Amino acid sequence: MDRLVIIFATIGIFFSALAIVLRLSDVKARRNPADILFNVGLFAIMWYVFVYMMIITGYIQQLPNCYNKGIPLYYLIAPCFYFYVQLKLYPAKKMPRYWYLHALPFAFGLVDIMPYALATDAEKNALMQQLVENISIGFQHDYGFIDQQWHYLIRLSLAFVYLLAQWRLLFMVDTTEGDISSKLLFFLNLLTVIYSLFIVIQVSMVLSILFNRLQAAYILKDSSQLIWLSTLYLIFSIWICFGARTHRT
Amino acid sequence: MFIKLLVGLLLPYCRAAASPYHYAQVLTGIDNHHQMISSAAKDQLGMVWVVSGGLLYRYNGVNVTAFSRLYKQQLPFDEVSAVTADSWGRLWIDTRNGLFVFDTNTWSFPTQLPYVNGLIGKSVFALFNRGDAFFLADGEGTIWQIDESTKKRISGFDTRAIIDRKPLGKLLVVDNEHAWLAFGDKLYGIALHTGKKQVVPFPKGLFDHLEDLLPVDGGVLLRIYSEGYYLFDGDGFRYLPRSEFPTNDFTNWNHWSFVKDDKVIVFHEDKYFEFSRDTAFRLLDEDTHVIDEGILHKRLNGWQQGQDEWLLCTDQGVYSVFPAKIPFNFIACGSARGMVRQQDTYYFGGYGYLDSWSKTSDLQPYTAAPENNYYTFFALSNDTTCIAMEGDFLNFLVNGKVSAAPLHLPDTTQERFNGMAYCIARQSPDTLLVGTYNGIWQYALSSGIVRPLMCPTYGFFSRGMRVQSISYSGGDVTYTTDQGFFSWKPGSFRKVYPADETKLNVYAHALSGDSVYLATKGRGLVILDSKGTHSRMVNVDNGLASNTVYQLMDVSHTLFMGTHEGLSILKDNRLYNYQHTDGLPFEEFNHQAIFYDKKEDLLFMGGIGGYISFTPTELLHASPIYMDKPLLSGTRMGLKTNRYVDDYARKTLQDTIYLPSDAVWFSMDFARPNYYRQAYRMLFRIAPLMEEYQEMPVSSQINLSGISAGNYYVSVKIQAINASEAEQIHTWVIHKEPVFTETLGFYVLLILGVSGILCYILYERSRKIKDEYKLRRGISRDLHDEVGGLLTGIAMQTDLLRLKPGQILGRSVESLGSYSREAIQMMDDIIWAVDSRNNQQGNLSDRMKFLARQLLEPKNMSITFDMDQEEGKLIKQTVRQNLYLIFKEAIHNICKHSEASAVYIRLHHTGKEIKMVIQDDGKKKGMATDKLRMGRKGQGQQNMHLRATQIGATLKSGFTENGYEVVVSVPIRRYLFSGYKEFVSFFKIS
Repeated sequence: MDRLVIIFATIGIFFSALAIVLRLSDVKARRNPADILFNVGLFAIMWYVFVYMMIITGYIQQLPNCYNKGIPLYYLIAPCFYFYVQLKLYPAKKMPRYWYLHALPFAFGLVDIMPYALATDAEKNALMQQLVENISIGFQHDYGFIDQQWHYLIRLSLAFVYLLAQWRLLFMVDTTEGDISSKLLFFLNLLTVIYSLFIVIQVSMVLSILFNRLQAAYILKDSSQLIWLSTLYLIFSIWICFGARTHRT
Repeated sequence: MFIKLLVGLLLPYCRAAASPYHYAQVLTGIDNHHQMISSAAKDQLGMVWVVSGGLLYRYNGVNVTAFSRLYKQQLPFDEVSAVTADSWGRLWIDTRNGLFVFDTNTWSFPTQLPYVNGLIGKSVFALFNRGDAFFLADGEGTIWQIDESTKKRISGFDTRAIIDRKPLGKLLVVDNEHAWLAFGDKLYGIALHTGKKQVVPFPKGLFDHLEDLLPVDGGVLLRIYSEGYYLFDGDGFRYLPRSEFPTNDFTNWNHWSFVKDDKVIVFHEDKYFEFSRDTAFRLLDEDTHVIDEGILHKRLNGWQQGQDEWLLCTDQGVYSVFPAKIPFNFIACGSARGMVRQQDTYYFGGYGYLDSWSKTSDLQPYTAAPENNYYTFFALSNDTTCIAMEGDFLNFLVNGKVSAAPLHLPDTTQERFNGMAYCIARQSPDTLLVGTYNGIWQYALSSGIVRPLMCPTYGFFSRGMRVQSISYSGGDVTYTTDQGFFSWKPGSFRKVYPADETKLNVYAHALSGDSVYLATKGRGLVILDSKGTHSRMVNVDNGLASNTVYQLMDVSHTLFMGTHEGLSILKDNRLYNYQHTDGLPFEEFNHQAIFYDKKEDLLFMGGIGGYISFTPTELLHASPIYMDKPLLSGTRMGLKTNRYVDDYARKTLQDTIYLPSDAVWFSMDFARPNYYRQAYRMLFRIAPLMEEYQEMPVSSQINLSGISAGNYYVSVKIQAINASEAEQIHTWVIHKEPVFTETLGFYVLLILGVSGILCYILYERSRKIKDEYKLRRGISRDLHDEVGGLLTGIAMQTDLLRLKPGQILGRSVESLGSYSREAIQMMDDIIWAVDSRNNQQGNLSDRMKFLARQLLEPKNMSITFDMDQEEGKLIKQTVRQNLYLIFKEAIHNICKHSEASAVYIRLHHTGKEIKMVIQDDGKKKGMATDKLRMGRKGQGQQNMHLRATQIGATLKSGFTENGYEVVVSVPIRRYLFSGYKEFVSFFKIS
């Protein structure tokens, strides 16, 4: 099953990357703020999966500089998807005046990755070696200004809040006026469903670790759990690449 | 005469060598009350299988477990007489019910496999394990050669003889050339390569006294009770008289022998012999041993070779005899103290006579000197040694002659002089420092005057101290006592270690470079810097043999320590230990009994049994490491509801062990094979519970309890005592299955549940807002569509009033009144529609009746209402509003276009749907009129259909046999919590 997890995730990364490239190749989409936000969200998820796979397979030891860089990006996934949905449902609506407040966690993450980024190669290699042996080091190491486990907790909590707001957007939209195509609505609903599943599984894993900290390393590498995430990611990536791309408005 | 007699008595105990074989007790017995072991064998994993009282047991180095417990199923036998192990993990069990073979790999009794097929249940006369093959002589007269998977018949023998005495030794022996079987007054010799068989009758009576067979080159040796050894060399039997044997008693009580490589090893009484393993039976070496006292006198019941040792079963447990790793030269002079060498003779101190030994003469008591307590020897020159006497202060040994040292105690000495001297150091060419039971005294060699070592500041600073070692260097005196380590120089005296008031018995000290080494009782070796400010302990935790060190000496930057439990060596921060099983004849060393002969490069270390001597560098070479792989010998699992599962089978004790979700605790029993040979220590670690390895508990049992789901890595490390870098680690993965509340599914459900509640709350809030928006939009639309049109009409009529004459004016005013009333009606309808207090079905019915009567009765149309008046049934505001407006449109159509005389109106709420029917008896007329009835599609019909769509209803309209009919069906959707809402509303209504 370990192999399946890696294979699914790898294929998922490939299709995600392809989806981003295809979207960027479309001039109209490239200038559309909603599509830009969506691409950022897609890339952040892809990077997350990529780094996780590198850790699981141990290849992160060859690329220690890849580690930790994604933390700020991960904070962007939830707001990006939220505003993407909002801009699609209400094209006339503009971004909020204080939109940059939503990027504060990104900035905060950017600051927190500095200690690792400034560490020596030897320190990075040593940490990567420990990380590969015990993946729970990922939230136990000292290369950061805050306890690293807070990144998981804050990110997922924020994601949960954004997700609720995203669902509210979808619910509140008035479909009787006929301004929004049913295809777009279906796409946005499905996107939110898949993203919700991602969040639910991730929060479940975090809860599982919180209640069984001793086995954090095992839980984080438990293929019987990761297989759900990787399968979901594979389906999502393929759908985004081939299915959803054709339905964008 | 008395002295000669005494010498004669002591001589046997003064031995200058010992056999290269040692022994250790493997097992004291099944328990304290069952110590008689009749048979024992060791399998390839190191487990010892023993037979006692007709039952088979397994000893894993820690615990003895009955085979009936290890093997869960019904045993195929009741009484076991012997057990033999082959090299492939199989036990050949000779029972009263015949032969059975137990495979420890598959944990089963194979019966049909080729190597065992046909043998199960047969009687067995003899078994022999050669290592690479297993041999068996069965009760049907066949000798089988068995290997890992097959067997072959190599010869047969006559089974008709009656054997009334079965010796403890072997009746069947096999070497590479021949198999020899002694059975029924006949000796069978089978050449293995040619299959040629030789059958020779024993000389009369010889077989009846046969004790053992030993295969040798060119024949076989026969040990005969009370006679010794016979040889059969292929031609005949030949007696081998050997004068070296101390007696003619060759019973198992005092005699034991075996073949090893090209030698025949014989233990006879306390003598050890090595003979050539051939027909010449030449004596190669002779020594002494203590196996007779240690093992043979305990009544030997049988023996078997296993790996590189021999397991001997006795009435008091099982013993192992094995070759020692280091050939220590042993000087058995009894409990040892100091020693010295003068010319080529070594003199050993102790209690009683001195002992002397040289290369040219045996060890013997040195009776030229009187009996005394010779404690420590201090060489003043090559031919003069000063001896610290435990009682008589000092003696001199000059060229082998002992004399008491002259002793003059000045009258002015105020301190109490004590003649118990323990150590000596030289302060000046004429002055010795002597450590006594009462402090340090100065002894003048030239005058014999003795006085206490006084300090101008502190006086007799060592008063009352038992001084155990002393050094003098550069004006500083350092010494150890039973209270610690001290340092003195004129004007300065301090307790160096322990620096506080703690008392610590320090037996000896050695200065080397910038370090001071202390031999302590309880703290092992303590290393101090030259100032004594920093200390470091080296003790058992670091690998030292014992925390009690009696003696130490630095030889070429290597520290040799005699401890309470063996010899420890410290070289470059690496420790080497040697113990009994490594060849040490004793493990407990003595204070001050250490001497280095620089000329011969021999280090002498003395203990309770005498002295050992060796070349120091010899012990620094890595010796063969006898280490076993970590082995799990059993598991026990406690499940919920007080259920237990034991497992001992090898096939289930795999590297990954799965625990079910209801496992409450898990216990692992680790074997300690060959632990009696003191070759290794065992450590363990459980990840992620522990970060470092810990010493395995004596029980060798690791328990895991209250464990949560996940993987636990139990690593067991076997570390060679003499080479800590030589180790074997094996890791078992314990996988605990999760209970439901530990699964991802549970957490997903939990989150979905919490999210669901949150979402529902948010949904309800959002829905209200959304409904409000909708309602507002509806009202504005209705106001615009309905009232707006009427008001426009009124405005237009008003404009016309100004232009038109009187008659027309009257009609216009009438129109104005009509429009105004209609506008009021419209407003009233809209207000009624948005008022949620009218959501009960009764309100709708009443409203419909009111409207119908208002419009239809003036037209003389009879109205029939068919309505169920259940107050409790709620109709959603949107449904109610749209239904009413559809109804209103239909009634207006009847008024305007039907010319009907009767109208039928029905409104039924079944709970699953609301059905509304408006029917009139107007007749179908012309196309144009009918279009008017049906065709207000631009306005009325279209509105009706739109409204029906908005509430998810179906609307049908058209002529039937009875007239024109409009039917609206509204399905009622039951949402989650709708029951709850009805329940709440019921109470509200109540």
